[in-house]
Amino acid sequence: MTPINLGDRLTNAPLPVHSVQRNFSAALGQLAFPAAGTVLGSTSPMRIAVTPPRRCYWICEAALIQGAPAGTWARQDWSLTLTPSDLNGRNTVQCANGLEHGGNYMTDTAGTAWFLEANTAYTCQMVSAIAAAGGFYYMQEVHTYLFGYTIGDGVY
Amino acid sequence: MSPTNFGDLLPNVPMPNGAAQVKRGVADSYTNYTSGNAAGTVFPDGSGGLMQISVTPSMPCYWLTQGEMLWWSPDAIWSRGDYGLRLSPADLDGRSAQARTIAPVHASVPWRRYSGCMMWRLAANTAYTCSLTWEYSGGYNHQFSTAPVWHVLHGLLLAEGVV
Repeated sequence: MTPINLGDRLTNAPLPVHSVQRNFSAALGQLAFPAAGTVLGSTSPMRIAVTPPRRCYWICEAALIQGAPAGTWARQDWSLTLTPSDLNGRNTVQCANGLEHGGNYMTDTAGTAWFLEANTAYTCQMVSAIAAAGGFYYMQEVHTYLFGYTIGDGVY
Repeated sequence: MSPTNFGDLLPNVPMPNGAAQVKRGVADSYTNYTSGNAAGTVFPDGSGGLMQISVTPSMPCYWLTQGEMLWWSPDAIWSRGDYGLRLSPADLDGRSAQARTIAPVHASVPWRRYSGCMMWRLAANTAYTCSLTWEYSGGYNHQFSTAPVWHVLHGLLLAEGVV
């Protein structure tokens, strides 16, 4: 089941099963949804980073609350991006939203699995993709967050 | 760092590198919540149970938990309902109420699925329970389904022995 004999591993070190990254958003309150390509979070960018010692997958889970002025449907998208691109050449997962909630906030979530090369520094970010006129989002850790964990570290 | 010598692990079974917990709604029902329901109320599973999962990790670890729900309102006005994830006892960072998910609803808009997650930091040998909880109403009525295809709470232990 495992490609490396367990006897070949050190007995005084943890199993390299996961690494964990967490970004709880700073309490910045309501912010204008920025122009396309801008990292969300203003002075506290919504990003996490990892440099895996072995090839692995990186599961990233993100959420935010966002809205647009009441009365008109509006398109407002955001993305999870990876820099540099992963081993499959992928670097973006885009969340498309048609917003009209009477001016209320709405939670939107995203999750993906990146395939990472060993000894390479990767950054995953929450980025504006399409900004609605008057669109907004909210920075507070119970609403807006970005988590990641690596899996398959050295297991295949 | 690891509780079992590597030599004691069987070579023909997976490595014990995580544990998963899943709780789904049991029976389909449509329940109405309002501002009269207290924040922190644990959602029912539609069959007399509660939407909760529990772990007692043998090592410090992280616990990724995710809750999913389906919402609608019979009221023909936009209103906001929040649900979230609560942990008891609080985690090593003092967090106990997170993943506050906002579900705006309106009678003219069909049922819609929402989700939220939280990565808690747990101590060893402590019994933790994560609950899917009602948190807030902006007024009016908020209905959710307890069908197992919509009403889900699941967890995954991570980085066991690494923190």
